[in-house]
Amino acid sequence: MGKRSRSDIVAYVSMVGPALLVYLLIVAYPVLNSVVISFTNFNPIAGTTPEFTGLANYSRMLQDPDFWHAFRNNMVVVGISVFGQIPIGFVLAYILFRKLVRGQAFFQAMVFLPNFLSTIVIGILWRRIFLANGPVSRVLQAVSGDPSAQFTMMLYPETVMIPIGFALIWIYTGFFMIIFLANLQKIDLGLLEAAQIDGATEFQVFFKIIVPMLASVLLINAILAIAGSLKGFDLIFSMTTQGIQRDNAMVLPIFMYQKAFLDRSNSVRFAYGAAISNAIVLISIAIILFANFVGKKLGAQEDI
Amino acid sequence: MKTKILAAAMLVMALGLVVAGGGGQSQATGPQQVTLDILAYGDNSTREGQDWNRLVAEFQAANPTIRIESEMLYDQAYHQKVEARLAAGDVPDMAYMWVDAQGQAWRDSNQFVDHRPFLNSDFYDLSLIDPMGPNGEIFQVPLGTSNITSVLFVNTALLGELGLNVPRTYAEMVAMVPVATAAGKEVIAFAGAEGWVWNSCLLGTVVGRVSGDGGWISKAMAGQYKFTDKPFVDSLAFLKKMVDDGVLSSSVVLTDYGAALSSFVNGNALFMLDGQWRAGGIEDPALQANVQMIPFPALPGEPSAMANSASGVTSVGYGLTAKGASDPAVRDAALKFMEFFNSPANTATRLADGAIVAPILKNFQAPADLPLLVQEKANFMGRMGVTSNVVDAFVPGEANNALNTGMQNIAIGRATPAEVAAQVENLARQ
Amino acid sequence: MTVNRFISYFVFILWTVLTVTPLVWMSYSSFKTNAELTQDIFSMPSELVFKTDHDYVVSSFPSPQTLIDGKQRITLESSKIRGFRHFILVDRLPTEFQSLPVGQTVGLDELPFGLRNEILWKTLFYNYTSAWTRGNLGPKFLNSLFYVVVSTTLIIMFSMMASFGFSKMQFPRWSKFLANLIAVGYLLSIPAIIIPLFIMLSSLGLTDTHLGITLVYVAFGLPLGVLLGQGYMRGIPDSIIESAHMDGAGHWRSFLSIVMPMTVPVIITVSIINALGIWNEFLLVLVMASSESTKSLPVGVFSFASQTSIELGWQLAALVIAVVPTMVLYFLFNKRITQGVVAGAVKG
Repeated sequence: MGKRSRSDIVAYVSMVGPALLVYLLIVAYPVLNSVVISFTNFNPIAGTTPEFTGLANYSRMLQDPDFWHAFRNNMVVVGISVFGQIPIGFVLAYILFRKLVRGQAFFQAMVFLPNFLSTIVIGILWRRIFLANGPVSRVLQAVSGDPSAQFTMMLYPETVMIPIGFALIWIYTGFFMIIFLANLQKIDLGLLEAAQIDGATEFQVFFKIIVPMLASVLLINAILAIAGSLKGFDLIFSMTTQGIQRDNAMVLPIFMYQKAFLDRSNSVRFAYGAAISNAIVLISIAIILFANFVGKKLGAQEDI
Repeated sequence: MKTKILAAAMLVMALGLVVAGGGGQSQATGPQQVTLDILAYGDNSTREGQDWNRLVAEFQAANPTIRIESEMLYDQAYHQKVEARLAAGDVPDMAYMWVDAQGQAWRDSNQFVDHRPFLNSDFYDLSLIDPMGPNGEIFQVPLGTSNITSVLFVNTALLGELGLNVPRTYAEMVAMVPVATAAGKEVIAFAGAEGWVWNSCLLGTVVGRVSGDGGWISKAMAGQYKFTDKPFVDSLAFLKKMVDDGVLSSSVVLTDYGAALSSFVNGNALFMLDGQWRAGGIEDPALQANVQMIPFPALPGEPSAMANSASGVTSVGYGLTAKGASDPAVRDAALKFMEFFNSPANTATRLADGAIVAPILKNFQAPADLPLLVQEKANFMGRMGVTSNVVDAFVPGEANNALNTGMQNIAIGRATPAEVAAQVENLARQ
Repeated sequence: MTVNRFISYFVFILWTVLTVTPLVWMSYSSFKTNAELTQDIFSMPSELVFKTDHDYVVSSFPSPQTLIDGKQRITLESSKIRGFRHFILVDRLPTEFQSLPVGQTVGLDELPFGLRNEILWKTLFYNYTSAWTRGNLGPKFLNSLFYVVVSTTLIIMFSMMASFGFSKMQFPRWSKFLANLIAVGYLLSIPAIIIPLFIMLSSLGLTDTHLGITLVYVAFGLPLGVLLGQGYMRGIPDSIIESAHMDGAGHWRSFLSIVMPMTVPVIITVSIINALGIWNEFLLVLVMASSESTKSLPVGVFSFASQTSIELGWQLAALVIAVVPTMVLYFLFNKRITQGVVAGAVKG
């Protein structure tokens, strides 16, 4: 466009300013603080002056086998989100958009509905479902004919992510679905009709027209999914009972919470927790950059 | 239309910011007024929490020169708030203080203060208050005598139906397993899905009996013993034995806190193993009349000195912080409130509600019409032997987590007692 | 029916069943007493539902209203439900009941019809009234409403303005940097920074104020608003804005009159996501709000549960109270989303 005039600059600052101001005040300072603390032995309760300890907190974290366990679990969650929630959300949004079923408003509401309930409630309910003699166990007993059969997937680290993955998909797919739906609204229906008149099947319309048009939204959603997976805490926390279930299903935010808040005997736990939080953010950024890179290769236009 | 929306939005924003400036607490006004800042513990799920506002209102009505600003929280939220406030330097005058590992924040910030010089020994029976510090200091006024965390609730009516008697030994309980299974009942209802339940409600008692020393855990933490020593490993092995013998059901690790109570209350279990506070969950009067509370039956080979022992901790209660105690007017107001809070009438209510087992007041007269289970609690105290350490009151964070998870893994056969003991020993020494 | 249609219906119906079941459970269970819930968590309610065989005992518990207006009342305490009392004006009772001794049992069917009905209705809604009064849900409800409305409005305004600046105004390098800066905020969760945040806000005197809590919600809502707003606005052709400029419109004018109306779908999406998140948000308000005047609904709802005991009946009633408004509002807005709202006269 043309050159920028003073009024342009004033307009820009007034557009962007308020958001930036609030954001910097509330988010920037604590985050910087957190970064600084993570290199010290900050102990706010005892009120001692923090001393610089370098990478001590970080190396402690990297040497903790629980960290790696949580990391692996978190990668599973990321996988479920990116390869489960997003494709399913996309397909559902498409179905609604193309009016392939009647009662769209109703079905849309139903898929999105889990977002209304606080995750803690959902966690409590689903936990009950999976416990001894709960509905799932009863179904198992009926199906297998063994009256003492129990649903044990929550007890073993190898299988615990299956029921949790199921719950994750049920809850969060709706979130991505409505984002896809909002963006689908922009597409000119005339274009699709023209394609169909030319003989394209539903599948072809979907893969050859819709997906490329929404490529950048797909990327944004993938990024949101990754970010959400790495900071999501409530659901897994409330779905698992304290002890083996929570340890098996441990993800990084819960790991951070346990180390920073629950481990009361560790006097530098806030500094340690800060280090873990920062590590989580770094990991998130790394994965997102990677996703961005892959996305650009696959054709998404704008990067974030 | 758009300008109207915009205008409305700006109005909302302006209004919001105007209103938002307010909110929060106000200062005490008027001559000679003292403001007491209390961090209270409780919620709407317990009588204690439900009664708090009423008690505060009554006290303020009777003492117009004292103004109470209180904030009530529970569980993790409470502990987090304590830490957040202490970290920010916003120390309350009085708070519900744990003196064990959970009260570490008060210890670290030097807010514990010895109450012995202030407490009225005509009002409180100081001999009933356990020492809380290395020199016998008292850091808070407990709500009552020790909180027993390991009680076996017995459904005597159900036992009678099955032709069984209240067990005296563990072997007798094992003998009951086939009878119970035939009738489709569990032997002990136990919330094994929660790691802390294994810790508080079972392990402390077992360690005391097996080792012959009620203070074994605290001594181990002090370095006198190791967790890899025989008594601790044998205690963990005993937990597995309970599952193998059928005394704890095979699905015990899938039974959560509500389900265990449910099982007992519905008559689907002969016994329930839980803390004494669980008596409050038994609401059916018919069942209440048939419930007995006994210490865990005799373990094979336990020394007679530890017969009928049960794990227990010092009750929690309200105490002054160092900040509160530093201002004489605040301190006196706080002590006055504490005496009101612990008045015979309020203590009687607390006793009737099941919040405490026995009060720490001097010359307390229990009201005649106490609910059945409260009387049963008193019976229990009579049946009980010595108190043994509750494990999580002494073992620190990570080691405790490993222990809780470890016990559950032992129960499902995924870990051996020796492995778990080694893990705990390792983490406890860091 | 084509295969496509069949599969589509199947998926949606399955989803509906999965989603509706917990809601249905929550709703009917909110009419059970805690004792009933302990007994069988999935059964149908019975105790509170129009049972006429409940006994009441005359008790000596004083009526709080009598202290205010001085009229004589009799206290009837339910023998089934602990702590459930009715305070009845003596005048409303038939003469033989007016001077009953304490401890006397009164059957519900012995009372006059009108009175009995009143008590039956009160019994039915026992959990709701208990939850409302004990949890002090009235002010908390208003607070939640305040936080949601003000925060969401500010989030939309600020993030849309910023999105416009970033995507449509010609400051590419700044925009990219600032947009990324704000977007990174999405990676943060409240537990991660709660301690330094609390300490900072404490020193500013903003803890336990509506302003402080609102600011935090806004700050956390901005990243999503900017991410989605930008993404959407990029899809709006520059030509539209250029032609507006030709017509003499300034930046603010094009923003307000042209771009905003076109971004309605994303505004609605961002509003709903943020509104729901803030309505259900628990941790921040728990840590920041100390006094009753700033606490919001989730704090009230979860005050009914602790590690060792739970008043499930009351909590479920509180949960229903918390969920119903959100669902009502959502169903109102729902139509706008599925039908698509693209105001403005520009053809693509």
